[in-house]
Amino acid sequence: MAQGTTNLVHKDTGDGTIVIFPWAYSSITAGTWVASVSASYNFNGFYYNSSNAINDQIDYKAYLTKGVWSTTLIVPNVGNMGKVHLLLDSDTQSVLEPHTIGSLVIGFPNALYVPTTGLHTLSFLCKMGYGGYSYFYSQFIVLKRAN
Amino acid sequence: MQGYAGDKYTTMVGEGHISLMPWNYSAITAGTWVWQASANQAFYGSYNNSSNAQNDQIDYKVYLDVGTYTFTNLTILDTSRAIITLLIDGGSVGTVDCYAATAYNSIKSISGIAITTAGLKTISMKAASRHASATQWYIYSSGISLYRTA
Repeated sequence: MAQGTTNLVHKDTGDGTIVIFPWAYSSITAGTWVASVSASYNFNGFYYNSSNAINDQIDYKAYLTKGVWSTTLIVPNVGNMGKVHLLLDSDTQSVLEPHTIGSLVIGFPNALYVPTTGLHTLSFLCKMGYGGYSYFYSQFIVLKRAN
Repeated sequence: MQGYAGDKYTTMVGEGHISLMPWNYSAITAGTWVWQASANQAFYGSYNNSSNAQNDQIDYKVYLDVGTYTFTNLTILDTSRAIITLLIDGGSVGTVDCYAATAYNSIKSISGIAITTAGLKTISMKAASRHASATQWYIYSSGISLYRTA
């Protein structure tokens, strides 16, 4: 862990990169979320909402320092992922709509602005996307402090 | 370690979400622990005690703040699995039974783990006991998480 250096009086704690296993959720607000094991994908599978329904939601707890963060997903190379809202403490921060996933690493287009250092809830809320699907797939969730 | 909250300094440490790959142990207290590849398991395998003996134990170091935590272990249940006793600094904080009549991938968790003093902790998984129908003493892990809930 390191201290923040954004200014002379602002000291904070915590790492600048936090990796979350997708099954280590704090709560499932809606939907059925399961692990799928398949040798067809990197890491031999993924975690996803098998219910494939609008408003499926999964929540994670993370201790985040005040600042600007980016959110990246490691995902299986599938083409039916829906639209996904990224929520910080119930407020939408960014929306990802990968019509087709051409890469195993995809990032939410907008930064995550964390207003206060502390324990926060990070949620992924599913909406219908391209092709009528509401699936959300992930293998790792990565939070990176940008500044 | 100090943190900044509002207009004054406070002391606060540790992350609220820690992910451990199971081979990143700090010590092996007992047993032989190895990676075993398997197409039937998430992450294409798991770390396990190939020694298959009662009281096999593996330890990890994590820095935790005061709070309430949940532990999760991604594993594959089977007839040969032990009950995992989770220790923090040598004291039991809960158990998870990894026995199942048929093998399948599962996430086993222990919630409500109270950390009353901040600092560097030793987290251990120990094969101290087993289900009455279990036949062996294996602990399997493909990924470990500790996350703070309060």
